[in-house]
Amino acid sequence: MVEAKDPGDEVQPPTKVAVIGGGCAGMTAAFELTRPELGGRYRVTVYQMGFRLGGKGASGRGEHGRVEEHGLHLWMGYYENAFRLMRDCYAERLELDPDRPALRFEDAFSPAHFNGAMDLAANGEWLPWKVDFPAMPGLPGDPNPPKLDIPTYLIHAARLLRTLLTTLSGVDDAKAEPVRPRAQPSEGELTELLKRLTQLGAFAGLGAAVEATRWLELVLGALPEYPQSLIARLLDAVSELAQTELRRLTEANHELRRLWEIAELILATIRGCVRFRLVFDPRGFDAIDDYDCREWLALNGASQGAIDSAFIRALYDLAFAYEGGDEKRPAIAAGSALRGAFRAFFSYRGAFFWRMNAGMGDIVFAPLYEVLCRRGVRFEFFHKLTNVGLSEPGAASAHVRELEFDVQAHTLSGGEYEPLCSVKGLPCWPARPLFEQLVGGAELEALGIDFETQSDRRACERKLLRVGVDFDFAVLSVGLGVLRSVCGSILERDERYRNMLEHVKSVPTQAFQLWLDKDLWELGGGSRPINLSGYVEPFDTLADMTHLIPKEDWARPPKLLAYFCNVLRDTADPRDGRYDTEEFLARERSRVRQHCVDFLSRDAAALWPASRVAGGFDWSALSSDAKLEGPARFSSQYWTANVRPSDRYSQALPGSTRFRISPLDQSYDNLTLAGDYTNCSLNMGCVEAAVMSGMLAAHALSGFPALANIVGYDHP
Amino acid sequence: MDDSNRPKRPKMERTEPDRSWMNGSFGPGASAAGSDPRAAGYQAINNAYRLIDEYVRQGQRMAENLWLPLDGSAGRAASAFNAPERLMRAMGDMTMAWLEVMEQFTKNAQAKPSPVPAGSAGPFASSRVEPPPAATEAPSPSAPAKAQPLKLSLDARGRVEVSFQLADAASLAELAVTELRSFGSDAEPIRGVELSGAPDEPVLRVRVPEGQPAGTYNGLFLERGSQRPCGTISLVVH
Repeated sequence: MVEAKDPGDEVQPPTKVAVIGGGCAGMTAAFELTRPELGGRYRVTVYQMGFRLGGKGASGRGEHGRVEEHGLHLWMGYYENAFRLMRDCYAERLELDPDRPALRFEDAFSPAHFNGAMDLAANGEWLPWKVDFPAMPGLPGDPNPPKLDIPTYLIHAARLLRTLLTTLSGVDDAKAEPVRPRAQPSEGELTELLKRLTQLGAFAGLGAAVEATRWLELVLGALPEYPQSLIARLLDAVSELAQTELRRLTEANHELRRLWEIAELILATIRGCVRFRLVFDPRGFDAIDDYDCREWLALNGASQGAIDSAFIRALYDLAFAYEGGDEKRPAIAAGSALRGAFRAFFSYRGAFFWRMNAGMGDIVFAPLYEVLCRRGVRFEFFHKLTNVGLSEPGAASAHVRELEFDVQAHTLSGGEYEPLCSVKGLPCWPARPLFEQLVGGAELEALGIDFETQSDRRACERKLLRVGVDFDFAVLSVGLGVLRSVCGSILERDERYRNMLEHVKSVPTQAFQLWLDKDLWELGGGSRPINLSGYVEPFDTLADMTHLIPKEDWARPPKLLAYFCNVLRDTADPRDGRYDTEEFLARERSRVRQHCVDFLSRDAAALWPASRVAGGFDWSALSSDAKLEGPARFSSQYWTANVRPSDRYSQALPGSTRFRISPLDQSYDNLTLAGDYTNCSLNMGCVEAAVMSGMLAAHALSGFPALANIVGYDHP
Repeated sequence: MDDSNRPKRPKMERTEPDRSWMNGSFGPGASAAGSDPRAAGYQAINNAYRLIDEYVRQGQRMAENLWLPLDGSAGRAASAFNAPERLMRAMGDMTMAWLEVMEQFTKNAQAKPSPVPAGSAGPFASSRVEPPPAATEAPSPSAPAKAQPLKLSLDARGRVEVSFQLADAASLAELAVTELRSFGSDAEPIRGVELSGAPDEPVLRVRVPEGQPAGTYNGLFLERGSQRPCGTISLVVH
């Protein structure tokens, strides 16, 4: 007997989702779409160029199990979505396999409270300005994230202002003599004083300023007695005189100058937020994104000294905010910068910065890979996207019709490539492909193919995926720099995509890592590991990463590990096909090596005074198996030029926000974008923005997670 | 494959962040300033801004000035931090008081704000004339959160609106109130402002002289001893 079947009982086949690019955004999208709560509605396949996941966050284990990163990755204490993702991932991994010794989340990240900026004094001396950020309650990713609105930030800012100044109040002011009251000056006397000050001008000096001060105090004590215009003139005159003296005083007292600069910046920010009506503007901070942040602060009263301060330089450095990688062109959209800064300073939990206790690949992408594998996600490594084919222009609904890939290598087994290696029991990504798993592995290794670049088109197969057959939905989560070469038909048809590529810029970065046989104390760098920014070109940011040495696999462990990074001046136009070639990459790598050697020879002494020897840097301090001497010894260290399209950092330049396309954009009925270059609300180049974008991409396809559950999406 | 059967992305309820901080701002019940809640909101904020800005500017000038060693002696130079520290702390307190006013004002609001026209959030937009608020009765002042209730005694011939805000910790017995000034205008200050009454039943008395020019007048509640600002008072004469 055949029973009648209720159509409602039919089990819908899962929707096939192709996630192209396994960086933070793509992996987040895959993670969200395969959460158990969705009941297997989506069958996800991740297509990844080369041999490892991670995108700009990819790392690899090299010689001695060394962690080799794209750059310096510190997670900020406000990365609520990113930490939530990782905490869920670690919990699930532990739950799936409780007997396996796995790194727990608590072991994966450590707070980094001690930070600073390099401050250039008037005499040309670089001075480290070190700050212990207080530990805040909770952990990032906990339930009930901090309140995120502009008035709350402004109240925090005002409190910080008071705290800064209270910090300085250790001096007993009981002995301070009050200003002697004297007869109230008449309007005529005031006018005469102003005339005299004006005549004396800059030569008035301290005596005149002191005299004017006494008068000013009397006037301020009886404001209603005088016409406002007269008071204003007096204030201006005194201010001008006082500024001269103030400059002299602050030149001699660095702490005072720094605090005054920050006080100025806070005041300018508060005033600007009110003046620009940001509290009530439905665009939130986006309303001022056409301004550069420094320009906007100046508009609201910050002095040039404050704008050029170490604090501001450090913020620009951390955001790689130099157009074209040129240190003379600092630029970041004011709204995005303020949003990031407010969140960073006033909504962090636990610590301001968090360090990973292994490579970013090991801490982030290996656990994600393992958990997603357990959920049934397929990974197609060595698949390089070459073209996104659209439906015909006349189609009822615009959509992606096909996806073309170069298959860079096949596995010997015919099954999936198994990408992880083990270093001291920890699943890690190797720095090079595991050639032994590949067909013709030895030959491929000998050929020296760069599997992570767009321009090398050597492939063993061209693969075409068709909509409805191989995929239903596509998450395009490749780097911004890659879009131009794979989205020809979209760019041809869609002006918004063209505008996005024209206005939302990326920049190459450079980084190096040093393993040293001398510890921080021996190098004269103090006794506490620190993260510093705001230093000189070509490397303005560094972090002490010595805590990673035990996670590496050294027979004779080095004593100190330090990471350096910065933007790299752009020498190529992304529209020019010559960039990303083997020759170009070799040239850029050589250029970065020279930067490293120059930096160590010239600039390392300000960080590590004892590293200076006659003739420059003490190259013998570098840990090396090879018997190399002098600058040649640097070859034993690690450096990278992140110039490939997928490696370039996504910037937030003034005037660019409006050109970002949201993952929620509905122009194509089966496509969503994901990446930190999209309009994800945070709109900065960072892990949190990429994770938010990935969550939005998942929401665009499935309605999950709810937008309200993406922390900060509705942030002003 | 038949295109009609192809899975398609669900329609989005929205594709943009909802950045409106309050999700409902100035309802008619939240502000007695007029029928256009946004206009009233902006006006209140602008007034508050002008007040704080004036004090901040004066404070900055004064702080810069007092940083100088006044009599040139080494002892004074050593204590150079303290005067500006006190002043800046006062400015910080003032700013917080003002922000709390703003927060309180907007917290109580109900209706959603209408969109701001493109480009109106620039620095030059403040010169745009906001529509005047419609005439309504003077609102009852909101009570301080923790302190004893403050009664208002208002003596005015024309229509006026009074609002004030006090820091939570402020003790009314310790307070003084400044006269109310209209910044950027030549109008005479309103001097008939005082705190009186029994310590457990303080009264804020405001007398608006006949013929007082229309405008917004602002003042401060000050702590008697330290002269630290701990609240604001705003009065609109129609």
